[in-house]
Amino acid sequence: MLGASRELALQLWGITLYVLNYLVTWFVLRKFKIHPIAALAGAYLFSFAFVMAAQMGQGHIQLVPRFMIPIAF
Amino acid sequence: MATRFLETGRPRYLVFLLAACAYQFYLGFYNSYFLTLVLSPYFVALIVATIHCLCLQHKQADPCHPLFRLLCMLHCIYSIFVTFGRSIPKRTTSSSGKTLVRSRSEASAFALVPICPNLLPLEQSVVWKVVELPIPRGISTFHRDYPAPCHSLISNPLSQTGTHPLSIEWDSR
Repeated sequence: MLGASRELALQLWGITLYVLNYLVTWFVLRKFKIHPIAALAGAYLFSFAFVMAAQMGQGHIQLVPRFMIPIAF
Repeated sequence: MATRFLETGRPRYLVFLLAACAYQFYLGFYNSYFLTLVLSPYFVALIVATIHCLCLQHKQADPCHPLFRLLCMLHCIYSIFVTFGRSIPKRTTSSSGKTLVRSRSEASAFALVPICPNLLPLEQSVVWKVVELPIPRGISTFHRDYPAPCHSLISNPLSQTGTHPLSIEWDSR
């Protein structure tokens, strides 16, 4: 990834996925005309909830990309 | 996209919805499976909420109409069934007649199959406890939760005293 090493590329990929989850969820919640602070909280919960972060801790990074789920709704 | 499609009725939103689901399937099958599970109750909930709002706005019908309440109740049952059906432990009977309770983790081979059609072939299914269908002698049945083939107790002489027509015996081969 961008010429980075294998380990750094994995870290950058994980960070990119979390940022994408957060931004897309915030955008969709704002499209639903939800209050900005509530949209921030909802996006935070969707992206960094403990249940989902625990999957990352167990090495299941393939479960992190879910930024198309809010768009589907 | 699902909300926009139900609000506007434009087919392009349905295409966007299908594209979003397809791309999510590309990203990961596990999350996408639950997305497809949740989408159908969401559609029903949105339709029910829309009907409710229309009834309140136009006052053309009573939102407490029995038909409307029946629709809401059916939707709640369907949502709970779809969402939590997989988490309910399953009661099975072993070859020695002992009742066992198995968790969903043992059904790993068919864990991704929706539970609605998956309930019917199971021997502990509520449906088969009520409806007893005749099974021709010698026909093998396959327990979907286990990889090894197994035969029905009908072909086993010891099973003639059994009460359940779809009881399953392990094949020792």
